[in-house]
Amino acid sequence: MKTNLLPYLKMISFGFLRNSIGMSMILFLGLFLGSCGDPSEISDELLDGKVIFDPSLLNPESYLTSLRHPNPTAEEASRPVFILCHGYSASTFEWSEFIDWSEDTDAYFTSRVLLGGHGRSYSDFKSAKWEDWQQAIFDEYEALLDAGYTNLHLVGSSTGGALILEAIAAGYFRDKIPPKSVFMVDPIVLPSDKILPLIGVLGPLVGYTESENTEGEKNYWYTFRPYKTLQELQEVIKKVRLDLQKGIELPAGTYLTVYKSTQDPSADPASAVLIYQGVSPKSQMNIHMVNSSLHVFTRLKYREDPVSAQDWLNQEQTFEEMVEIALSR
Amino acid sequence: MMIRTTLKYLALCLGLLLFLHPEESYAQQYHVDLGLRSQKAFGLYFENGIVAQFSSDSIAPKRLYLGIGFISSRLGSALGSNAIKQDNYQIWLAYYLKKDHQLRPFFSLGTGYFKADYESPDFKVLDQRSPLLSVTAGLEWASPYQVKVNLALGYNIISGNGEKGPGTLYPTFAQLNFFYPLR
Repeated sequence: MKTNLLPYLKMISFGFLRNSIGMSMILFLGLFLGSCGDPSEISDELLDGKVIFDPSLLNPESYLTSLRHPNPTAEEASRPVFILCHGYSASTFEWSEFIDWSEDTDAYFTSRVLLGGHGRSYSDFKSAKWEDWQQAIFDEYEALLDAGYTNLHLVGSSTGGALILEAIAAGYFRDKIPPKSVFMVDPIVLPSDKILPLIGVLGPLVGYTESENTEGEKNYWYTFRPYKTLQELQEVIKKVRLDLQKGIELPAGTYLTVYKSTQDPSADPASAVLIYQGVSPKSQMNIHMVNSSLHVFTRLKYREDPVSAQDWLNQEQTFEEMVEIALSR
Repeated sequence: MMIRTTLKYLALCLGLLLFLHPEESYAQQYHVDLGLRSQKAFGLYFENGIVAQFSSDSIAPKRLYLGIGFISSRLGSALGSNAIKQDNYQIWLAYYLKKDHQLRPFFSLGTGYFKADYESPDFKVLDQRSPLLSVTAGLEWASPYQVKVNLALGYNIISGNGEKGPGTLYPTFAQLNFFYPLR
């Protein structure tokens, strides 16, 4: 899951110290990696290939409440709807454990949104902009409002959280019924890999990065990440960071809860600090620092390392609290 | 603990200044440049502050400099914004090549202390302080008006990575320095 560009930068930065030898190394690196625009072969067992797609593309009514219940009764329209948004390079699978945990409850509905450009082939992923990723959230939000649902709750993991913050900052909810609550699990504002901001320079040299996914993850997360998508990621998180610096005001009646792992190899825990500093009013916000070293700690299936009792407890407590908050609003 | 460390650094800086105070008898031996520094972490904040460099006629004259500085986002990105307030106490050794040229390449090895203020007690579990260890390389231009302008690229060998270290301590940065020779 972790992308690491550091080795490339280390080679380059040490190159500066070695003058002409270093420059030759950089040139060689550029020529060598410059030829690696895309992966030469993508296996069919990967999400990146042309065989495996996110199942929500084939059967969207199983994933989206707006399609599953397009004509809600007055009682149904007032029930909470969780709009679950996954992160960069992931798929609807990221929130499947919340669905399983909910066990066909009648207390609330769930909509699992597949971000634009995701869950499809490598080339579809490569060509999508961050605005495309975000548009899928807007499409379901507006479809639910059009159908008459009024009790909406946005849930974003990782980049999903950043996309929701960007929407709030851009005033997307100003002329709409705003969400009653927003939940973020390990939202990314600062990447843990601090070389990401250099992707515009290093990206054309490396072409793409390869993630170390487990066998299970390979069906649900992209293994190959084109540098253009990393540039999009960098662009949206930079925009959110600058928005937070200026200040982001929550819509009246929207309550924000942020859950952030204290150690996270993808989204730096300091992301929660930036959100705390940048979002107002503070009375509508709550931050939980969670004792975990997992990125998106609510997803435990197909992890590389054995899942601990603490991990299960974190997941359970977070799901319970999200539901409790949504039902109380 | 934090106050003690800060005082330790300030005492060190003061000691250096007193040691290098321009006494008559040492007039030809020591040189002091005072300046301003603007540092931009790639992907994060502008941090600005003051710096000073010292050199001696007896040790690698016009080549080897000992520098001290204080830069902070309080004087940069955090000025009038919600950016994190963070301070850097820096000390470095710089070596300049082509000492009599107007354009001089240099490189330096630096250390120091970094401290971020995450404000809320919710974030006490996160690292907010770190030693600094960095390398920089750049070019200095000796302008005709005594002011020396230097531009450098640097790399913090110690930085945050999401699992340890302050998350707002970034590895790569650019520096712009203006030095005025006091003596």
